[in-house]
Amino acid sequence: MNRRDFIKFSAMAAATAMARRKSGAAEAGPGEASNGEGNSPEWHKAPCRFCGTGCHVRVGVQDGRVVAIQGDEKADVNNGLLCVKGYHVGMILYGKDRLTQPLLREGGELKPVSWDKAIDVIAKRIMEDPDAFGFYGSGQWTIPEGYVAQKLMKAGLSNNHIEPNARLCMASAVTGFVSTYGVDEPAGCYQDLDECDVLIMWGNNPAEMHPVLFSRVIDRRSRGEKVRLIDISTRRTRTTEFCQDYLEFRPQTDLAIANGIAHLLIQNGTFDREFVDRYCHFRQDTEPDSLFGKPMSFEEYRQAVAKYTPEYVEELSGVPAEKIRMLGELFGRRDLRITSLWCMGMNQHSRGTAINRLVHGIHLLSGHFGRPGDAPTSLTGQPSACGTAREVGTLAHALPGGRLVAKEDHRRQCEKLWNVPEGRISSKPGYHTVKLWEKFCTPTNQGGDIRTLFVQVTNPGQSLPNLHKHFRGKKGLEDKFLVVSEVYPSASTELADLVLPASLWVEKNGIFGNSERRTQQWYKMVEPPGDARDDCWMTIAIARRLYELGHSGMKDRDGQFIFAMKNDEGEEVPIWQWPHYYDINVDKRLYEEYRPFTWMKHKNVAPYDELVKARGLRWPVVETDDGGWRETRFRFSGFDDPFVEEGKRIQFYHSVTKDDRALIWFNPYEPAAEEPDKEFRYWLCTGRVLEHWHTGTMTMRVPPLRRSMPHAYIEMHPDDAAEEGFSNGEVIQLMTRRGQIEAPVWIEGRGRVPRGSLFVPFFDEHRLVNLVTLGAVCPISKEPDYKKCAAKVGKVGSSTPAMAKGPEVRP
Amino acid sequence: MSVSGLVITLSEEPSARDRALESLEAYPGIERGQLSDRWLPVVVERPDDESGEAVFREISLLPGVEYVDVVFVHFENADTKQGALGNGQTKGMHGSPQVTAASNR
Ligand code: SF4
Repeated sequence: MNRRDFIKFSAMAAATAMARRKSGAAEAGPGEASNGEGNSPEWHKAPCRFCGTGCHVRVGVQDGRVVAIQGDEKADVNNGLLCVKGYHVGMILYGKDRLTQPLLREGGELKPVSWDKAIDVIAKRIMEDPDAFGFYGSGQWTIPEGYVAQKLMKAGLSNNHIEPNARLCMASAVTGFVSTYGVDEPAGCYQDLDECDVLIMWGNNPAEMHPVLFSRVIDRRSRGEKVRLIDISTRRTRTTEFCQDYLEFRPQTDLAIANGIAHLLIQNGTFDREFVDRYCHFRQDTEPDSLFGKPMSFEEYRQAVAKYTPEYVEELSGVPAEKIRMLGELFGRRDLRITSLWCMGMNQHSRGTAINRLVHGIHLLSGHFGRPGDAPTSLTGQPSACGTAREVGTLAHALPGGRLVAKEDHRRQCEKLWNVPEGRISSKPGYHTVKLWEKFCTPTNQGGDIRTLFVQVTNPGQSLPNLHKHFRGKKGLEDKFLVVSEVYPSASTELADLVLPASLWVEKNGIFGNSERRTQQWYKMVEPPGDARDDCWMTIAIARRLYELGHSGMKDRDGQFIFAMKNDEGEEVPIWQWPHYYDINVDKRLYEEYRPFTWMKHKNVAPYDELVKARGLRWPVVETDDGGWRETRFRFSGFDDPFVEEGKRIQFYHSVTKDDRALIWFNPYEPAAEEPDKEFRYWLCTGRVLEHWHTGTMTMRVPPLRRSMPHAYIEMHPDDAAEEGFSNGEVIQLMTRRGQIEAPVWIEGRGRVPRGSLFVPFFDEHRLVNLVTLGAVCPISKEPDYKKCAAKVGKVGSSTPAMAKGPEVRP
Repeated sequence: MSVSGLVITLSEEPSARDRALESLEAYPGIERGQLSDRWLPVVVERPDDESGEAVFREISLLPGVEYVDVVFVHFENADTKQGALGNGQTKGMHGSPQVTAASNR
């Protein structure tokens, strides 16, 4: 068989096996292309580089290049399927403008410099003023990358100004989980999607954002299973096309809808009294808001939700009262299994913590919790938002394993595990993301006390809200210094003073943690281009240089720090020197050092060697009597969670009230931080599209994806467009109180907004919608609301940018 | 050369399914595998990585095709041609984006 025939044979084998599996055929047959036969590629496993679904791909490598991608049949997450982004993931490595050498800005221009010089420049900036240094990463940091950055900052520099961009996407989910269960992350897993009778999507569009998960549900239907899909949203999306029910609500009133369901459960007597009596307490907010609030009685709770009658909810939300009753009735039925799904719609919300709590609350109140298919489940947008940002805790207020910098015992535990002197970790939380950038963009003599910022694996120049204020404000501030590690030129490198070329995906070892608590490992498969290097190495090299410069924090009690690693023979390996970085498996050593941090909150991640064998394992992973390792699908449920005490059906063993009970919260409906008015008469919502991943830095380099969705657009209702005099495709101006952009209007496009609403995706760096977004944050999670602000539109050239002082924006 | 392995989910309705199968016959460069109930495995071969995606899009839109899953892609010669910066996108672009059904819906 020649090579071409072999490739075609492999493709057909994979497709045939999948077709047979979909049809329910007992024996699907092997679908994997085999290794090394007939001059074929070598195949390796890796998680997809993109979204938090965490599909596994088989990566075909030949002659030092990735040449083929196959969905991994052995992976529970995706059973061999990938979405349009996933099957192009290999191409992200080969855009022709990959960054290949460090570049330092001199005289306004970026000029090549050596790595030694680049690392030296950063280390000296830090030495100059260690407290004015900030580290900004993302949910695309691998676990070792995030862990080593976290350790450098908190255990080395005694500086808590480290944040992931995950603050912008899932911080409200974290505060929702923590304030409800006392511990972060979903209790259920993707199996809930296979077993639910009703799937409710709250402001969520999984058909485009988590397509493989959505196809799991749609496949059930194709097999004749009955599953009712309900889309509760502010605009019609691809997801809506598959749903039996579409409930369109006025932005922000999801709070009222959730309270309306709670009210009906109580009024109809259909709440699960036994579940509530045994496993729950009631809570309300304090003034000002706080993470854990204050207790309330059931009677107080009943009274608080009583005003959210179906008619009142209809008045606020525009959702017909009978639809609210329908939701109330569904939640009141014990014979159904109900899963709620959400992502950015609920998280990027100026009351993000509140709406997260309320959705957990209706599941708890109705007892739709703890059985497969009965689950409140948040999804993540990034491949390791859970694994790195949430579990390693690379946030300004957090420490690894669910610990907090403000808690003395947590600091002491980390100092002990890190073998650093007591008191090394600062007790003062650092700046949350929006604050961090605000401080960086404010002149030093006006209180802007962040002077040097190091960005890895993210593109804040495009993704931060209100970019004029939070990113572009840096321009012209002479004493501010921005370091950006990137794989391609981006909106962030445009303003960078130092650009570092980074390895990408399978050009390095890595570990991610996906949305269902699954930790996934892969090995480096190909070399990075030119002089690009691993982010983890960069952090270690900076630490080493700081050590050489005499920074006292770069020594633990034994005089060692993150750069001190030994090989199996006990000899020190100078991993801060790039040629020696892969002499040992640095990832494995860092990960094994991190593992004990995960035990306190029973988030026990699996040993590295177990991850090597598996397509990810869901924590808590515990050792079995026969020496094997067992993962957990359903946390807090006695039938599956090894940490639930014998005989207990449900046990919230990290509960806020220390009595194994979860909290059902009441939070009232409150208006959005900025709402349309006479002048700015439209709601503006921003988001993603199927083809592009986040800011498009990678997917815009993949020709098929770029061609499929080449540029951003302004989605508009046809009647509004007619009234404004716009034709489809006409380039128009979109203005808010922060600025303006121009983009073509798209009428009757893929998504359909109601009258008075606009939608613009944020992947297009030529049409930066975040120049005009608001930046108001949830008071508890500090996550910005990207889904709601007031805007107006006009013909190009018809209007000057509207920068008039608007109504006061609540924090 | 690019080679993709696809699984096409055909309509439940037999006449629509037959129409889709007929239309698929008309495509050059598509190799059909054995139909498994209403799931058809196919292999699409193209001289470059670009046109494979167009075929995928067209198949998705055929009457009688419910959706298309991609399970295998070989893109050996797929040097991506340009970066996102300065890629010729102009502000004066007219017409809405040509949105495709290039998903696994
Ligand atoms: S659903 Fe997400 S993880 Fe899966 S292939 Fe698509 S982008 Fe990758």
